[in-house]
Amino acid sequence: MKAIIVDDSRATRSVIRKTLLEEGFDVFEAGDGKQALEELKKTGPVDLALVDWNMPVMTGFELINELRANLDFNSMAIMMVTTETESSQVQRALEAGANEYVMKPFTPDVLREKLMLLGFARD
Amino acid sequence: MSPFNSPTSSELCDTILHVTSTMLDAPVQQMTLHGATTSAGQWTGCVTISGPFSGGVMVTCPRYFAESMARTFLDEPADKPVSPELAREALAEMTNVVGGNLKALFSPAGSACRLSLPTVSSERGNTQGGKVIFEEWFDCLGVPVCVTVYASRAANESTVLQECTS
Repeated sequence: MKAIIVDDSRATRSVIRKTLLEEGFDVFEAGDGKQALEELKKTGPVDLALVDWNMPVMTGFELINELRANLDFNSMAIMMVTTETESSQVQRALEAGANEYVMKPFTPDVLREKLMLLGFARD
Repeated sequence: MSPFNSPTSSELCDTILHVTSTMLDAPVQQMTLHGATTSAGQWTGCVTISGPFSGGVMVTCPRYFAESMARTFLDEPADKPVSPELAREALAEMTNVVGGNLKALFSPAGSACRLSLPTVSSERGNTQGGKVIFEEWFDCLGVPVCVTVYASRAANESTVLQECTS
């Protein structure tokens, strides 16, 4: 399984990466939406993209729209991982094509639960 | 009628305690700090909020605590040196998550305020002419950390002030 973490915070990427590696993912990283698209052009589609909302250059919301409009990437599972906790924002993300939504702060157990909901966690 | 919600001081505190304790994976308590704190060696993370509520959130802590947070987030040993850039990123992310969760308390139903990208300064935080409506200290692993919320919207400011100090 392959995953890409898209977040401008190295700290958050590190926390997410640790859990994904424990779950057996090969992990790629990007600091914003534009970098993610460039990385995905190199790696090809991955099984899961974990996407922050508020990032410089290209936001996570813009990235989701790009991915869902691209036939090469539109079947990837997308999980928003963000501080945007208002229900209206959750709704926007899901309508744009996110499959799951994790609110920061989160624990590794919460992340595993969400992975399980998407059919990724080992148990 | 106010265009935004007016959370109580208790609601703001509870949210800050939840965010900080989860991110640090350690208990955090509200604390009373007597006397002035030195600004030397203090860093301040800032995010601004716009939309129905206009203002900002600042998180102030000693630089060494930002370094400690970076080690925690990056899962590094306690004695490993941390670059200033990583320490700033750690405080920026803490500010981002605290600010994001606090802004949700101000957002009216069916709408959302917007959060800026976080910035970190080695100077005292600037409210940009806004009025401080909430300021509390928190004991984070024995280190005093201050969270400040300010309102920059003149209209309805009194409503927020009244609610947040009650």
